[in-house]
Amino acid sequence: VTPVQSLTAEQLYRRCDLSAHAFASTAELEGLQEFIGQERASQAIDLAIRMRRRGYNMFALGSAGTGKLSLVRKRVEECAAGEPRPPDWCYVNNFEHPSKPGVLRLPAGMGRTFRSDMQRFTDDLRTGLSAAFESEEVQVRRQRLTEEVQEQQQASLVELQEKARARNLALLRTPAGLAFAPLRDGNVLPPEEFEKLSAEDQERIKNEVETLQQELQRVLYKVPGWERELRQRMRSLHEEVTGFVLNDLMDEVVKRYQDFPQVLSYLEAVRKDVITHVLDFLGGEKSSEAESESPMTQFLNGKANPRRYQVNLLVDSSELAGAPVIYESNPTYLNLIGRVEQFVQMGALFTDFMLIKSGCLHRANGGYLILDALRVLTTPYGWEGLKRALQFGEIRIESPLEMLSLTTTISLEPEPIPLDVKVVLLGDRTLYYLLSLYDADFNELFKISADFEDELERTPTSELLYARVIAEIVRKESLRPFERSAVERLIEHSARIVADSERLTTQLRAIVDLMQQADYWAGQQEATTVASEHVQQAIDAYNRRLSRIEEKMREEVVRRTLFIDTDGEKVGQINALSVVQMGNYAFGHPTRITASIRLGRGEVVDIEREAQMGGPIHSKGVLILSSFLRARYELERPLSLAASLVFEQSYGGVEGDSASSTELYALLSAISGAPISQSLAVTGSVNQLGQVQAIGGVNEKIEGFFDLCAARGLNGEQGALIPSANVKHLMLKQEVVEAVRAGKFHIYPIETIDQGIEVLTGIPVGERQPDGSYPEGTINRRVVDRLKELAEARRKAEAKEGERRRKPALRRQPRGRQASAQ
Amino acid sequence: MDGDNTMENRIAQDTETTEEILVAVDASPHSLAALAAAADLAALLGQKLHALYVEDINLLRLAGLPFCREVGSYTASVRLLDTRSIERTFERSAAAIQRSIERVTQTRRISYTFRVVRGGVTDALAAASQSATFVSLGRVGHSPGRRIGSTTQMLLQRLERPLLIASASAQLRPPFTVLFSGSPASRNALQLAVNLARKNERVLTVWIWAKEQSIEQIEELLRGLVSPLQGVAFDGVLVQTSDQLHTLLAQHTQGTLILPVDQAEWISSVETAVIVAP
Repeated sequence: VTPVQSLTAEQLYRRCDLSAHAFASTAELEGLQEFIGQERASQAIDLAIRMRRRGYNMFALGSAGTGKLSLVRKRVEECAAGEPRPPDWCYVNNFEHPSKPGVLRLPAGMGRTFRSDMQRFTDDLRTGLSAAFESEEVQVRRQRLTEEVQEQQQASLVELQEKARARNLALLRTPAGLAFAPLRDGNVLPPEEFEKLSAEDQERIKNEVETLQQELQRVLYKVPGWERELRQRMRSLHEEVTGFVLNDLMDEVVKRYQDFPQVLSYLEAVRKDVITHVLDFLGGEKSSEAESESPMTQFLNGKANPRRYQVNLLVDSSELAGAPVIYESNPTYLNLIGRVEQFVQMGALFTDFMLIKSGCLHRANGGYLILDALRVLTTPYGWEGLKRALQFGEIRIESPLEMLSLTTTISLEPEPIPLDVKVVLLGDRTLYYLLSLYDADFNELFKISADFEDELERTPTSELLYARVIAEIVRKESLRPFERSAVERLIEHSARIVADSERLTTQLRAIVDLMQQADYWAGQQEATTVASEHVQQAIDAYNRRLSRIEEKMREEVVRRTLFIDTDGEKVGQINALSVVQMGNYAFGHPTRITASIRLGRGEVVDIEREAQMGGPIHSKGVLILSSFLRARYELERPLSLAASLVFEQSYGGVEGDSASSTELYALLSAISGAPISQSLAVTGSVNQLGQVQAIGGVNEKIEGFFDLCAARGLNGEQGALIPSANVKHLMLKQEVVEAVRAGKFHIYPIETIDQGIEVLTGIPVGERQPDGSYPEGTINRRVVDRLKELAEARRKAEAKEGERRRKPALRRQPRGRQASAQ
Repeated sequence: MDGDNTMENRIAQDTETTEEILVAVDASPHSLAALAAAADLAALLGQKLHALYVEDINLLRLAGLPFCREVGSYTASVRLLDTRSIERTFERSAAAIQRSIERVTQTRRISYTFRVVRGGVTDALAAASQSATFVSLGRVGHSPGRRIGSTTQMLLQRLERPLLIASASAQLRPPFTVLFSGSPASRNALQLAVNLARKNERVLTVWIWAKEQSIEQIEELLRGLVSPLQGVAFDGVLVQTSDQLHTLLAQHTQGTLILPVDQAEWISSVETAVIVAP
């Protein structure tokens, strides 16, 4: 077995050395705006931007703080600046179906012009019409028309009156009509006088009255016809006058929109509508009255809304330089799709095309829309709305309540607007994989995924690039310049964040936070630049803020409430290294593992599992170490021991296999009786062949044990055993590095169980001789000897038991079945 | 006039005055407007209001004739008329008028008398107007197809007192405008206008009607204006053609126009309340 050399101080922490580059602080360093280590994501973004096909939307996935939004936005904005401006979109009244406003598409900037043209048209129309209808000509013609009809009526009545008078009859007004009566001296003949008349006279008068009544009826029957004719003639007069005013104004507008057939057909509709509704817009006073009237009153009066010729400029691209890039931070359904607002009037809800409001899909149409995936998914109907718009390639404004048929008020169905937008969703990996697994539409609509790296390889080149990124952050965040030493310390910390001396984190948010805090500490000390001490201070302060529980646990060990030995030797007892993750913060904490053996049939009892406190990976580790034992020692005879393993004073669950090597050491110690040094702590998982494999959280584990030893006073013997595969992950804190340098603490890189047990017991493990035996005094020999003893003991015990059982069996037959059942 | 049944009169105010303004009322909206206008005038001039409701005797007689039928003015349907229903109409109208009068006089704090007489409408009005300073009538009477009622026309033919013609949309309102043509009636009209203008201290507008007249005649006209207009703020407008007058009348949408009876033909062109001076 190759003896194990403890690691040197240099192997515990890979320093960053930028001295080859001549800069004293970031002030002298050119900032790097590019994102480093995100080539994969960058290429994906570029592809997504260039693919001009439906469905090539993008999902940018990666951990928080990797700069997804910044990178996507930067790339998209660069690209959008060179793209053409999208058109303007206007909603206008649909005169035939007011509940279905129409949409007009105009070149960027023209929407505004159209809006003001229509406003001017409406104003001019109103003034023009008032002037025309108040003109003497129109007044006189109207009056003449009315008078003609009146005269016609009157003439008929006068004629009748004359006829009556000639017969000495009068036409009288009665409470509800007209009647003829015989006259005498200008007054109606009293009935009693009438009685005195001769029968012929009476009959004559009666007949005359009847004849005249019939004539009167004929005249009155004609009245509605005359009135209808009057209305018709009035209408054609109005049309003639309106047409005169309108044609001039309309031609002016039409001239400017010759190239837009859609606009022209809208203007034609306006022309027809004005003629139909001319009276609603008439007169200075009347029109202001109409405007001050509530829509409710207008509605009840059947009047046309004076806003009907206005233009709702929904999307105004006039001020854009290129294609729009919109980041919507609150992607609710209404903010995405747009809405139709309503207002309350006398208890009823009213709306019209002017109350259609755009959503971010409208504003991003022809460009790019960046959204936070989780937010879209957590707002009601947000995700459904977005998908539907993308699937059908159009924005159809519908209230979610209407979709659910929960509302029945008057509402609008605006004509949908064609959608051409590139949507970029930002989110974490879990969300991406969940969506692609469970939402069939997702893969159709978001064909490009930009996967952001969490780390990048640490090389001298990447370190320099990283330094330039730091310089850029300093500039952007307006921080004090960072000295070179501070930059080096930051890069080292970046490696520590990813727990790998050969990698750097791309989660710049953590670095930015640290830089801001280091800058604060520099400010506290009135320094003009940020030095490495300030960075260290920020790291320490961060750890201190989060280390309450860690300190409490260590305190309990020091006070011997929790039993952890850090010196001496014990059989079947070992210090395991474990790591506790509390939110963003992880810390190492040693745990005592003990093993006990007794006569048995080779079973290893994992007490954690028995108590249902061990996770499946932990159980698997225990099973692996049991099979290692069998493989190595059960060659000649079955294992005749039973062993129990336990994590002492563990009250929560145990998970992970990083203690499996540790448990194996404890077991070997218990079997062989070789005591284990309590100055050492162990981590590492083991395979069936006895190889020690890499584990996670190696830095925290070592530091946790070191802190405990340091609290009790280092005795020079103390140290930790780690898998040699983890050496490259070491980025230990300075105290540990210094203690190792001073020879007060040792870290042993272990490859096999044999190496480990030798370090722990100080006893050679012993190699298998050609005859199958192990040399005297070695661990293996002690194990084998002990196993032999146990086997012998078991054999004897079983023989005795067998004898005891056989005797009663002579008396009672069913005994055998009972035994086999045991 | 037969069947002169007078209703008791009431006094709503302490100040007693002998001068009174006669208003002819029936239950029609226009006559109620005339009532309000008359009440306004009474308040302005500090006079009493005398409301007169004439139950048209001719209607009763008509209903008494067995063969007479009413032809619906709108539907042209023929219905039987009977005396009872006519009587009931009269009673209802009188009660409604009484209520209106109370409402109108109460707000203006003027005293009034209300009489109901049975007889010929024009005769009864002419008789009652003898003791009145003004007569007030509704704008549209009952004659079909005309904008001025037959009663108004009859009264104009033998006008002895100034006649106020108002409607719901044309109430008695300042400022006052008078048409002056130099005729005796127009001098009366001017005097009346001056009195009214003085009462409410507004500028009086005088349209000097000089159609086809020579310079000398116009000068003569103007001289006739000098003494009546002494001490009154006024605007004078010389009107020389019918078209000009037409335009002025069409634009006259506020205030009250005072016409001499010899120019009463213009009444139908005016939207506002009109006073016709004898």
